[in-house]
Amino acid sequence: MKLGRLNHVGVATPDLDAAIAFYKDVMGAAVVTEPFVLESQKVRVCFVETPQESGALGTTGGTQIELLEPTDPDSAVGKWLAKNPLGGQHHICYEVEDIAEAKAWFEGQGKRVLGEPRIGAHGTMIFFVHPKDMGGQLTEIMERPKGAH
Amino acid sequence: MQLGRLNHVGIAVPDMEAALAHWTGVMGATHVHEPIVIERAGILIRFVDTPAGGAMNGTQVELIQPLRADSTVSPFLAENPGGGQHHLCFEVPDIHEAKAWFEAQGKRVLGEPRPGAHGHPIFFVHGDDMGGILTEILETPKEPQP
Repeated sequence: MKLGRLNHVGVATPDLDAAIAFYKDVMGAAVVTEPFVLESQKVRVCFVETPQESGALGTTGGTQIELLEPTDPDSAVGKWLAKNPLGGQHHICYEVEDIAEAKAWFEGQGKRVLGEPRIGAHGTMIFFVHPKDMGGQLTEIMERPKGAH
Repeated sequence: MQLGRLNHVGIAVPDMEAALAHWTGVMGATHVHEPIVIERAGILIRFVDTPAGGAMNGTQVELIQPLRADSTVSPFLAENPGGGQHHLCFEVPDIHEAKAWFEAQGKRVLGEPRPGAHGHPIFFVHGDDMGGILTEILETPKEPQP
């Protein structure tokens, strides 16, 4: 397998609206996508866009910040926030060309893939790999949106 | 201020050789930069490139291994012995303007701007003031990164 594009960094927050205000007002984000609920993960989600090119402020196309607010304290993100009440970096997501091949690859490496591929926040298939097998990082693998970027 | 490019994700690792084996062998990284030692911080750094837009100019992964017990990443590794995501680094056009901006927002800037791993001026902002994320601010390199 070849390392794919770093699609986003997942950031957990106890208050999505406050986090959006922080990214807009303090960090100066020009584009934040409309929040929506991803039922399968029990989170309310939005994406903060960053520029791909240095200095191209106000543009999009770079690695996104995915803001995650749990809709249920018993969800995976809810439990993570119980240990990290301020929020923080939760996971990192890389793109692959083929989700089934990627799953077979990581399993072949002895990495624990958490469940079957399912639809993620970008509408393409995703799965997560256990952080203890990935240098302490909860790692999301996402099939590259066709036609994007 | 306007949000700049996400330059890199800093990842603390207890063992650089094992981390490189993971990144090249499991994750399939093809471009890993030469080692950088930052004596002041007591750390060893390797940057891993990721693809974007048909080239290897995506957000980098910065692997950071302590070289001594009082290194800047040692407290994080004491709490997270397996390693993990340590900080995020965003680019700005002007490091001094950025420092004044964050201070005016009541954010704790940790020390004065100084040369970072890329040799360009950086500072860090306290994670507790930044939604739990230790945040590095980097002046956009005027020439391509090494």
